[in-house]
This record gives sequence, structure tokens and C-alpha cells, in this order.
Amino acid sequence: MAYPIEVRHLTVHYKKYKALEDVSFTLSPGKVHGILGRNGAGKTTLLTYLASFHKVKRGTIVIDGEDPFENERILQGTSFIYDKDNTYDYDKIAKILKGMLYFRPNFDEAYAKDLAAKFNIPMDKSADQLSKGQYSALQVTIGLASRTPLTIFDEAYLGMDAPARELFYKEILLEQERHPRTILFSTHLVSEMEYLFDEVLIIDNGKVLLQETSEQLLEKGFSITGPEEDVDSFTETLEVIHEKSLGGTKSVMVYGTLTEQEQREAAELGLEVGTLSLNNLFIHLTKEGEET
Amino acid sequence: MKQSQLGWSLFVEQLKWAAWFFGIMIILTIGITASTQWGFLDNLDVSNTTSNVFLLIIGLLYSYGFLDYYFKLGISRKKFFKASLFASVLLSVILAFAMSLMIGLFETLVPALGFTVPWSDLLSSGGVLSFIKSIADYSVSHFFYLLIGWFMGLGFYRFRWKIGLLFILLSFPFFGVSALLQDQDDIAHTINFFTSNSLIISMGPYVIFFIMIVILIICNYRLTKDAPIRL
Repeated sequence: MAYPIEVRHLTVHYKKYKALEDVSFTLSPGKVHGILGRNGAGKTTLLTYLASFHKVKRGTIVIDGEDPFENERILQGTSFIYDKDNTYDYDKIAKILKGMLYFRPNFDEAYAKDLAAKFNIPMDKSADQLSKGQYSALQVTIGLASRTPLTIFDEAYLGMDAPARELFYKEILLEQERHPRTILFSTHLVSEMEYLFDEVLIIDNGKVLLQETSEQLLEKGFSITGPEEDVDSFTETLEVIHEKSLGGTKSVMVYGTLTEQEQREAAELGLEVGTLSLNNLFIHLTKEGEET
Repeated sequence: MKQSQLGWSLFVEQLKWAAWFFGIMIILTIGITASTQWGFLDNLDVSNTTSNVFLLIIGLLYSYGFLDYYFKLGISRKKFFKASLFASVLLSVILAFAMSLMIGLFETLVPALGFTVPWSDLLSSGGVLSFIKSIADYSVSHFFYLLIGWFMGLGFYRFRWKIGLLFILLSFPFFGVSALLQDQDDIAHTINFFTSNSLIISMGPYVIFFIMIVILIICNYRLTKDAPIRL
């Protein structure tokens, strides 16, 4: 079970600050969606609205065909896992995991215990006795084992060390195979997680900058390297998002697709055409000012 | 989670806290009885003020503690509100019963052990009716204080501290009227000023309490039904 999401003209203002401005997009069900953006871009605001933490005043959100606000079915099927969530403090881990069965109908306690063991979470301690990394691991354990049709991870990995994060990513992929659901990931660790994303939504200054499948997005980014003059003339009509020069050699990053003719021209000029990582695209598409 | 399950779960959680509170109350009352016997204290006014404060605090925690917790586990605000109301009524009555029982037991056991009860207005002197009336009075008072705590907590949770302070101010009239209604002599005197009807004099305070409780329930519901949940 996985929820599709449709957001239309969502606008959120905090006094004079525009957190989200006329945001519209559709997220297909059963996919892992990367929600990317700079600090303050509006990612967490967007996710809290999707999780019904706030009532939408301007625009609409439809999840699995219904308005999610105060919707028992949608709320029960939505997990929002985020940094600084102290929901699970005070109780012993074993009790917390057992208690989840009452709230999340698809919660798999055995899987949760298995994950807790893999993350080295001590079952006999209370949640407030855990280290920052262990607490994050507990949260992602609950998020994964809840198997809610919509699972949102907002920087949920903070504090987890590299091996724990690696384990988390592996489990995401395994779980998506076993029990596909709609997973939203908000993260700054783009380079580390980009292989997880089926689709990517980039938010910039409260607006949707782009939404593509990962494959489409990677096909839209190129690096072109060669003699400075040739690179300049070749990229004159292209959208250059970053450039750097060393001696007489110039390397630029281009956003857009290259036609077959353009590819032939590049080869004739002896230019080297490479692909860009999602991380590079993200950095340079959302950078501020005209810095190159 | 079903509505009834949630209500009971909330009630059981609060009952655990109430058990701690009540244990401390018993120890304190034993201490006060001994102190009075040895001449440190005299003529205490036994009342439910302490349990009222306890329920006020429970009410304050409803939004920051319980609403926040249960919503993040997928419970809607409306469902939470209904469950909380159920748990609040139950807790108010159970604590009232426990308080009255404790007072009754003290008034029976303390003299039997050769000590003097450290308060003069004995609950047991009025018989079973007085005991039942005390449970009813304490229940209403507990529920009322819990609702005020809930109201103030919602003010802070929804609107942060500046407007939250305004909710404390808004609570003052409720506290004032409640204090007036709980002072039997004062209220009889005041009502006598308007009427000499004995039914109005005896039932008037309950009616006023009922109206204030309804107002608080409506306010709390309206503040809860679309409350933004804090991260």
C-alpha cells in the first residue's frame, strides 16, 4: 500500500516571510522521492503540511484521493520521522516497540527488533538514555518497521555514523522491495543518498525549482571540458550552471539536454562530455548569486 | 487505535501519575497529623486544593505532552480530544473518590490510634450523604481545574508565550468564580442577596460550575481541532 500525493498551489506565509509560494507537484506512489533544497528553502514546512501538522490555508493537498487533515485513515498511514523529535523519550525501547502495534496497524515488531539489534540499540534502556546516533537509529527503525503507506524522513539520520547510515540506506532498498510505500526523504547528504531516489523534487526559496525522475535529471546534466575558446563558443546557447578554468582549459557544467548534432559538434571540437552527479546539479542549480 | 482504547490508555497513563501524587499526599497527611499531635501545626483546613493543582498541571500537559505525542503516532486531534475528555472525567472522579476515602479513613483511624484529627470540619460527621457530596464536589472541582489547565496549555502551545500569558489572564475570572462558589458561606450570602429560594441557593453554584465547564470544553475543542503540531 502506498499513497499518491497531489499538491496544488500550496502557499504558506509566516507574517511577511514566504515559506512556500504557489507550490504544485504530484508524487507517484510506491517510489522513493528525494526532497532537496538549501537551508530555509521550505522543505520541512512542506513536509509538515504533508503530515498534517498544520491546516492548509491556501492551496490543496490530496493524499490517496482525500484531504489528509484530520483524516483518521491518512494520519494512521503517515509517519513523519524527523530530527529533534522527542516523542519516544522516557519509555524502555522494548516497550516503545511493542506499543507501536497499537498505533500502526502494519507495524512489524520482529523486524523492528531485528533492526534495533543491527543498529546496536540497547533494548533495556529508555529512549532518553540513548546517544544522539542511537536515538536517530531508533527513529528510523520505527519509521521503517511501521510500514506506513506514506513515510517521511526529514534529516532523520542526523547523528548516525557512516556505517549506521549505510545500513539504513540498505534497509530502505530492501523494504521498498518487500513492502513498497511512498517514501519522502529530505536530506543534505545528496551525494550519499542519490542512488536511493526514484524521483527528485528540488525546492528553492519556497518554490518548486524542478521535479524529475532521477534518470531524467541525470540525463539533463553535462560537464564539458576542453580549450577555453571552444568551450565558450560551444556553450554560448546552453544553460551553464558552473564553470571553472585552469590555464587554457575550461570545464563547465551545463543543465539541459544535448541534441545528437550538438554531441557530434562537441566530438568534432575535441571537447570531453561527461555526466554530472545529482549532488553537483543540486549544488549549482540552487546556489546563490552569480558565483562561479 | 480505537477511540475507547485511546481513552483508557490515556486514563491509565494519568492514573500512574495520580498514584504517585496520591502516595505523596498520604505521607504528607500522616506527617501533618503527627506534627499537629506534637503541636507544630493546628486546625488544618482539609480540602482538595492540592489535587486541584495536580489536575491543573495534568491539564497544562495535555497539549505539550499528550496531544503532541499521540498526534505524532497517527491519532487525529478530534480523536485525541474525545479520549482526553473521557480520561479527564474518569480521573477527576477517581481522584475525588480516593481523596474522600483517604479523609474518611484518616478521620476513622487516627482517633482509634489515640491521635487527634488535625482538621475541625470533619467529613465523617455528615455520614454517607456528606461523603457522597464530597465526592461529587471534588469531582466537579477537579474536572474544572483540569479544563482550565488544558485551556492555558493550549494557549501556550498554539500561540507561544506572549499570547499564552493572555490565556492565564483569561483564566482568572474562572478561578475567581470557582473560589467564590467553593466558599459555602460567601456564596450563600451572595445568592441570598438576589433570592431566598432554597433550591436556587443549593443548586445555583452547581449550575454556574456546569456553565463554566461547558464554556471551557467548547473553548478547548475549538483550540484543539486545528491546532498546529510543533516540531
